[in-house]
Amino acid sequence: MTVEGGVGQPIKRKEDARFIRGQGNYVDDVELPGMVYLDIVRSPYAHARITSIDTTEALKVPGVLAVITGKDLEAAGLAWIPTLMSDQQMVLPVDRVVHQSQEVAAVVAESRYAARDGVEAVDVDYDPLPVLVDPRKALEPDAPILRPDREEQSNLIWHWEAGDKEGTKKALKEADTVVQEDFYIPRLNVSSLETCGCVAKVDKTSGQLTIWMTTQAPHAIRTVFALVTKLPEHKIRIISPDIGGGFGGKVYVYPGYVLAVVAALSTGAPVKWIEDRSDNLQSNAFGRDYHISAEMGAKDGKLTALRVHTLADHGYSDTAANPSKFPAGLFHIITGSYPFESAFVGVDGVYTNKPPGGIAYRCSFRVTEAVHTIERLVDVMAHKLGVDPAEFRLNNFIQPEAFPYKSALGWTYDSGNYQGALKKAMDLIGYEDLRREQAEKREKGELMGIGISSFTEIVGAGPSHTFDILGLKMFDSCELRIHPTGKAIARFGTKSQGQGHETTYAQILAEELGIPADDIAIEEGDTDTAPYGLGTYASRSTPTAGAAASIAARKVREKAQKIAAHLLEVAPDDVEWVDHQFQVKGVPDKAKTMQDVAFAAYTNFPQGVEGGLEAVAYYDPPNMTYPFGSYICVVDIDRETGEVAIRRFVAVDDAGTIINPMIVDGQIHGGLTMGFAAAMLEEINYDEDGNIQGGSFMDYLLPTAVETPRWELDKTVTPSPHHPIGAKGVGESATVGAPAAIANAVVDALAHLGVTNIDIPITPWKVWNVLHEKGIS
Amino acid sequence: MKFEGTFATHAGIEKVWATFFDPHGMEPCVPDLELLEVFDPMHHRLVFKVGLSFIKGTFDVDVRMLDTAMPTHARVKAHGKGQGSGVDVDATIDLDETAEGTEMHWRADVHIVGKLANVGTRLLESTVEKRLNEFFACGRARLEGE
Repeated sequence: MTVEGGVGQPIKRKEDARFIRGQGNYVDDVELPGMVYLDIVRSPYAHARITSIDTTEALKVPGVLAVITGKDLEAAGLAWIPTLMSDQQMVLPVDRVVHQSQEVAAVVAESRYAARDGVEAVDVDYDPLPVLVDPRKALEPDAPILRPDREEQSNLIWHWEAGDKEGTKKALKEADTVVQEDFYIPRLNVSSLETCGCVAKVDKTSGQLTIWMTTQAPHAIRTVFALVTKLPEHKIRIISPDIGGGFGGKVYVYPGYVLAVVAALSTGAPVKWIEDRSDNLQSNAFGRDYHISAEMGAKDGKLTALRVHTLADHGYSDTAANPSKFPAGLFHIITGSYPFESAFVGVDGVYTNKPPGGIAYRCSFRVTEAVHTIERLVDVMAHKLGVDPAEFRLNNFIQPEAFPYKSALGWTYDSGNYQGALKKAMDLIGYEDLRREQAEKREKGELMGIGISSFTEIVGAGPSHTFDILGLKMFDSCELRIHPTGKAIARFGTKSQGQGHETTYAQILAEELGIPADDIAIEEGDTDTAPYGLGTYASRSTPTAGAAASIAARKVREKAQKIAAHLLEVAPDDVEWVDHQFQVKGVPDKAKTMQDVAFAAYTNFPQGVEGGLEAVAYYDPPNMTYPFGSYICVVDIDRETGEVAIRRFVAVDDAGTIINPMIVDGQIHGGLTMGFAAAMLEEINYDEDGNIQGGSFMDYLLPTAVETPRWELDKTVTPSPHHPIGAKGVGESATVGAPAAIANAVVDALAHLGVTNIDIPITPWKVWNVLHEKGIS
Repeated sequence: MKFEGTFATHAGIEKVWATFFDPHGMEPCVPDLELLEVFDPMHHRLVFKVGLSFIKGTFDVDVRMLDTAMPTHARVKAHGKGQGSGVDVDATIDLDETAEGTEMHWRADVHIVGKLANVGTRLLESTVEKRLNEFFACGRARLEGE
C-alpha cells in the first residue's frame, strides 16, 4: 500500500501554490508601522585612506534621520565583527577602505528615496593607496600589508594541506606519464533573483530584537548576533521568510544586516535595508576565485598520483562559511572518482583588495573547483596517452565493490557505481557514433568535441566529530507533532531557498508515518519556533534534516506502537509496522492507521504512556554522502568566430534514493544551467585600479532560456548505506559537474591542435584567439 | 587609462597658452558647466554635469597647475568626485612654435574609479575620447574663429 505523496512520487511542490501566484512573502514584503529605510554609501576606491567624512549636507536632506559612520560603530565596539572563519570583517571602516563598493557610511531616512539622496550627499574624501588585485602579487615580499590589524604581517591568511607530500612526490617520479596544467576558476556572483536585505525591529518595552532576514542559516546567525551585540540570545528572533535563491550567498553576515540593527537600536524605529542589484554584484560574498596548479601521474595506463597547489583569493577578509577544520572547504575531494595511490593538496588563502567571500556557490565547499580540476586533468592525461577519455575513465574508476572506499586524501566514500553512470550516459548519447562522426568531421576540418565529466560530490556536512562552524556542530533537526486528527506539523533547523523542503520533507514523513504529504505542514526559518540547526547550504538538508525527519518519525512510531497495541488489545511486541499501518503480527486484518493512533494519543491512551504524539530528532550523520554522476556534452565550434554551440548534453545523476523525481529533475535543470553559465559566460574580474569589471548585468552575463541548451536527464540509484532512507542530496551535483563536461568538450574539439586547456568562461573571444594562434580562423 | 594627442593650430603660442591655461579661457568648452570657482591662476574648481549610461549627475573637480613654464610647458593635476566615482588626472602639456602656428603635445594618465568605471566599462574609453575631441574642437574654434 503506497501512501499519498510518499517517497519516490513526483508530486507537485506544495510551496508553488503561493510562488506562482506571486503570493510569496519575502523580506521586502515585510512592512511595519513607522518603518524607516537604510541605504549605504560605498567606496569608489579599492584601497584608500579615508581623510574625511562630512555628513552635514546629508543630514539636511529632507527625510534623512541619521548617518552612521565607522567612528560611531568604533565607539560601540562594532566597527569590526568576527567572520564565520575566525577572521574579522569591517561593518564600516574607520580610516581605510580595502575594496571597491565597500560600505563606508549608512544613511537612515523616512523613505528609500530620501535615503538614496542622503547617500549622494555624504561627502567622503579619500587618499588612494596601492591596489592589490592579483593574489600572486599580494604574496610578494614588498606588497603592502592589507590587514595590519592581524598579528601576522602578511597577506597570507592561512596555509592548509592534506595528503602525503613525500609519497606523492615519489609516485610522480615513478610515473611513466605526468601531465601538468594550470586552471583559473574565476570569481562568480551567485546572482540570486532576490538580493540580500533585512528588516530589524526592537521592541522598546521587552528589548526583543526581531530581524526578518535573507539568511540560509537563521540559528547560526542568531548565535553570532548574540555574541557580537551581547544581547541575550532569547531576546533575538531571526525570521527567514521566503527566500528567492541563496546558493551560498546568504550564509554570510553582511554589514547591511548589522547596520540595520544598529539603526533600529539608535532610532527606535523598524529599519529596512534592501540591497540593489549593483550593490549585490559589486560587494556580495563571491564564489570560486581559485588559481590552481595541478600535476597528475599515471603508470601503465592507471592513475597513480595527484599533486595540487592552489591560491585562494579571499578578498580583504575570509568570510566563507567552511567547516572550521577545512579553510579550503572540501577541496580535498579532488581525487574524485579515481583510486589514486597517493595525493597531496596545498592551499594558500590570500588577501587582496576585493570584496570578501569564498563561499560555497551551489557546491559543497569548493567541490566545483576540485571537480573541474580532476575532470579536466583526467582528459588531459587521456589525450596525452592517446586513449579515449571514456575508456580511460572506465579503466580507472574506483570499482563498485570497493565501497566504502577510503580516498588518498582521507574521505570514506559511502557508495558508488561510476561505471554504471558513465555507461548509461554513453548509451543515451550514442557515444561510439559521436566519436565516428567527430573523426569524419575532423577530416573535413570541422570542429566537434565530446566532453565527459564523471564527478563525485561530497555533501551532507556533517558528522560532529569532524564538522563545525565556529564550534557549532553541523547536525540538523526535526521537531514533529501529530495532531489529534492525524494531521501533522514538522519544523526544521534548515531553510529552503527554493529547494522545495515543504514538499520533500513532507514526503519523507508521509512515507515514515502513513500520513498523506498534503496533511503534513512544514515550517522552517523562525528561530523562536524551529529547532536549532545549521541551515541549508552545501546540499546538506536531505542528508541531515531529511534524516532527522525519518528519525523523528520513527520515534513517533515507537510510541504510537504502544498506543496501537492498546487499541488492538495486544502487547506492543505483537504489533508491527507494515504497509504504512500498525497491524497485529500475522493478522493483516487487525490494523490501525497512524490517524487512528493519533486520535487515541489525545483521547484514549494507555496507562503509563504520556498523552500527545510528538518527537524531536537532532541528527548527527555518521558520514558524508557522496552523490555522483556522469555528464557528456557535445559541442560544435565555429572556426571563423570561435562561437561554441552545445549540441547535446546528457546528465546521468545518482543521488541515492530519490524523494521526488520531479523536484530532482528541477534541481538538475537549474544546476546544469548555472554550470553552463560558469563554463561559458560568467566572470567578475578587476582592472589594476581595483574597479570591478562586471558590476551590472550588462557586463556580468547570465543565460536566459534562449542561450540555455536542452538538457537530457537520466538517473542511476545507488542508495547511501548510512542515511535512514538512502538519500544523498542533489541540489548541487549539476553545478559541480557541468563546467568540466563543457570545457572538456571544447578542448576535445581542439585537442588535435595541441590545445590542452581553455579556462572558463569559454567565450568566443578566447576560442577565436586559440584558433587564430593555431592558424585555423 | 592613458590618452595622448597633438593639437595643431594656426594661432600663436602665447594665444594658445592664454586660451587653454587661463581658467576662464576654456570655460565655454566645458559642457554643462555649473560652476567655475577660481582660487588663483594655478588653482580652480569646476562643477559640471556628466552622463554615462544610466549614471547622470554632477561632478566636482579640483584642478591645479604644476610645473608651468609659460608658454611652453605645463603639468596639470585634477581630482574629481561625484556619482559614487572618483577621477584623477595627471596631464603633461608641451607647446612648440611651428611655421604654421603652434603644436600642443599632451599626455594624460586618467584613473577613474567607482560607478563610472564599473558600470560604464565598455563605454568609458570611447566617451572620454569623444569628450576630449569636443573639447579641442571647441578650443580650435575659440582660437581660430575670432
